[in-house]
Amino acid sequence: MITFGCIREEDITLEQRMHQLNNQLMCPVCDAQTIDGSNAQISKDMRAKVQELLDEGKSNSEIKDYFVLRYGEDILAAPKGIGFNLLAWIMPVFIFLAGISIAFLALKNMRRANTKAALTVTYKQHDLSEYLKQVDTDLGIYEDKISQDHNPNNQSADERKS
Amino acid sequence: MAELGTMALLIGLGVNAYSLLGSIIGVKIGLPELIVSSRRALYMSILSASVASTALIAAFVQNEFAIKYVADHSNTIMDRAYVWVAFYSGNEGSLLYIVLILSIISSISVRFAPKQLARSIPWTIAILAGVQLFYFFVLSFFANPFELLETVPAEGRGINPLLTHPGMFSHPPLLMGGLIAITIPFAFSSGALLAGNYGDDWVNVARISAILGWGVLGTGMLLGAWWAYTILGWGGYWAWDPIENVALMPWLVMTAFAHSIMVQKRRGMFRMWNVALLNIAFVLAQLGMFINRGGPVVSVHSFAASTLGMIFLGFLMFSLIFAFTLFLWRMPRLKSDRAMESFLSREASFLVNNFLFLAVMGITLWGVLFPLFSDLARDVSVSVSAPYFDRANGPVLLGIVVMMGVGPLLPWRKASSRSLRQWFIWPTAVGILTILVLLSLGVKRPVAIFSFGVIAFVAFAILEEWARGTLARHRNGENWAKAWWKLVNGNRPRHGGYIVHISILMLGLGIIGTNFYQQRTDGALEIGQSLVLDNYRIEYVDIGDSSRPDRIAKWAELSVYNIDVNSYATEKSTAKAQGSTGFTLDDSTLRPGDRLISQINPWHGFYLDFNMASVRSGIRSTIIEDLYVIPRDFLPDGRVSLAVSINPLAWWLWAAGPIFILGTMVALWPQAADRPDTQMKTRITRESEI
Amino acid sequence: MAIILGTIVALLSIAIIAYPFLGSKKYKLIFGKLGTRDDIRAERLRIYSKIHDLEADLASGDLTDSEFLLIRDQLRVSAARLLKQESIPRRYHDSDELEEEIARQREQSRQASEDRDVF
Repeated sequence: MITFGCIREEDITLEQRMHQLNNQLMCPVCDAQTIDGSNAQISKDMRAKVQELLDEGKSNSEIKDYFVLRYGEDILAAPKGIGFNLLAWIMPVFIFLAGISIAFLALKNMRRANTKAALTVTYKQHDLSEYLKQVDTDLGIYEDKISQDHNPNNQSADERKS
Repeated sequence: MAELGTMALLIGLGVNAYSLLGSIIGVKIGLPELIVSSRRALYMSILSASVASTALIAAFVQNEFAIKYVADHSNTIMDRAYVWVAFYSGNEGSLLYIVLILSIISSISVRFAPKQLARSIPWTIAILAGVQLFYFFVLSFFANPFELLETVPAEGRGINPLLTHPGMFSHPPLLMGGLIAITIPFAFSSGALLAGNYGDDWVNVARISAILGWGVLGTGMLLGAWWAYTILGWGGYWAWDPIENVALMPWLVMTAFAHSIMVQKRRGMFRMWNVALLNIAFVLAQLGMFINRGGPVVSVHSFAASTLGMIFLGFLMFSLIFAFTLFLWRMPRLKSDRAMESFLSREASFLVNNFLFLAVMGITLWGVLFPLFSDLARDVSVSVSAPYFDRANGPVLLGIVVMMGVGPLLPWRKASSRSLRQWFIWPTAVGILTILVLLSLGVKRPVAIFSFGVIAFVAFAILEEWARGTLARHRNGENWAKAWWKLVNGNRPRHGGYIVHISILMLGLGIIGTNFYQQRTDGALEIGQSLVLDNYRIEYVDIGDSSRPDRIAKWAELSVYNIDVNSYATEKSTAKAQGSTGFTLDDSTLRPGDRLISQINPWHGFYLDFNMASVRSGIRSTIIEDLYVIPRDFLPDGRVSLAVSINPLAWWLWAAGPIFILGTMVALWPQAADRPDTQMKTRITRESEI
Repeated sequence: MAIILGTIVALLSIAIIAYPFLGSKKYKLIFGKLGTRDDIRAERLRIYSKIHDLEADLASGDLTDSEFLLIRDQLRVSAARLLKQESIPRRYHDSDELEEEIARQREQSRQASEDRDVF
């Protein structure tokens, strides 16, 4: 069922290219909208221009360059990965690597367990034996039951207790 | 009303200042009366905020156009139901709304905090009061909703037309509420640190308040996306615009927190992570407030550029410095109780989780700030919009979905190779099988296919666990539905979490379908003509007019047909030769295989006073795909210019919403004291009778 | 009219805030409290609940047997210690045993809060 929605002819038509380009060019007067989404007059004019340039047989980058020349770099919805703007694209990789390093450092930190805490949790068993007995009675834990409890199949706790 | 409102704001300023100072001084000098008094002052903040809010609402209802805010955001024709929306539609009103919500949830969380937190509560109160103090300060002196106009206009400007839709009743309040709610867990964790309480007592309160706020924020974002899709009519639902991003980032961090906190509860680990995550989320929420009020970044939503922006920037900086100084100071005491024993453990998967969520947050933040950076560094402005975020975040988000499947399958501490095989083999097989099936059916786009495989993997893992658990109970004689419900109730945080995961998978389906497989065409139609896209034919039947004095509004009556593409073969090949995806038909005669399936009436309005257009798309939705039509223009020659798209799997995006909410509620619901095991119950009862 | 309402709000707030200073109720600093007997017993009962959850975990395959026994033993001991605490009143020690106390509090509250959420 899911596939029915997604099997379509995949040749990329001129019209599809137009829509793709429209999504890659910003509307100069709107707030953070592409010319595809905006209905401003200038967006309509730009869309018509894109259509015109496509009909003339220009490539995607030629069309984008055309607009950059006239409107500036910020007409593109995403910066070209050249020169300074390469920084925009490289940074995610750095962030990823930085994240991995932090994760490793965190792992190393955690391997040094807090021994102080561990120490205080150690208990003196002989002090507690009478209390332990009481706890076991409360919980219905009996020594021989432990081997019976060993049950990797999915019986519920209820079933096992009976 | 204006005087009452302003007085209430100043009173709010006063009580919170008292609460902040009194809590700190009371602890320092050991004066319990002062501590209690400061707590009461925090509660009194609700009174101030509600009185101010009521005054503002009353002013709207009574059309007091002497008040600037009322004149700017309403008029006499406005439906009274929209008063609520008008209240928070502008900068000043939204700030008042935020402080109202904060005052209420602050007091509730303090009132119902567990007794073990007694030592840190005064510090928590100080922080909560401090944040409220900031907002009351801004409201009183820089963004007063009760500011008066010199001359009283006879009529107001009216409400922003984009806001007159049911979605707008809930989207902004939920969004703002969710963002400010991050203050609560932050205040509890910081309060504990300030008090020198390094235990885990604050974890439960923090977890519940965090997930509540997170659920509200997530719902708000989903509603916003749905509203954008159906109302804003630009054809999409998420533009990665700065305001959306600035709500998404804290949400991501809080998602990481919601998972990471379980490791602290269960294993006493990740203490530093959790404090750090809350700090980051809180600071990001403040960043959100800053950018919303006219920070340097522009977006569909920004309210106003002003000195207000600078004040919020100041508070943002202060929060950042405060939170991280506290963190670094107390860091030595936040060491874990235990060590991470293996990479193949649930702890490790939560660690990877944390880092992936932070990576998406970091990449998004970088994308939001890069234009500013470029401007400052080179004096060249660039835009960073959807294409960047899709490409940069896409892979990391996919990684998160993978973890959604892997994490729950790994046991705590260390996975044996036996458990790995036992738990991973079937889901992985299902995932690979899905990919193969899709490939064999001729589906294209490898990235999307792989993503579908991942979704299948995760879905199967969840369903398998439910199946096993339900089966076990079913053997006891319970019917299937009851058995499943009891299973879920037996461990609500976990199973509620699974339900939320399922909603994310549904969201994922919708995102992949609409992003990778969308089909588009445009055309201008006269009445009687049709536009054909794939196996849909859209006929322009008639034009409607619902204009009013303040707006020009037209709508197109469209009939939608399912067609047999073979009947249109000639036109189709002509269109293809010309490079078009769709084509126009001149006559309205139907052909063999045409079947009427729907009638839609997309609408286009233009608001004269606001110089703003609003569009309502016409949608015919099935679980397989949406047919989505926007009227771009009603042309003077009588034609209508339509933009048509087929959005596969879009339905799943919106269906995910209720599931998300359900899952969050289940995860939050306090575990009941009674257990299905009656034996255990009697033992405990007997014990407590002693 | 508005001024009157505003003044009422102000006075009401001041009254409620000032009440602790004026009332006859005695307030104690509750910093030193570790928990009453009831609290301790409630914690112990929560540990019992948690052991039950552990058994469910074992049944669903989330825990290995050795893990189950290990954690259950830790919990049994904690419950026993709490039981002991219930019978012998404890005193809160001051700061030179701070580290130990932190760890102990952590252990207790971690286990107390783990009861419901065997994740």
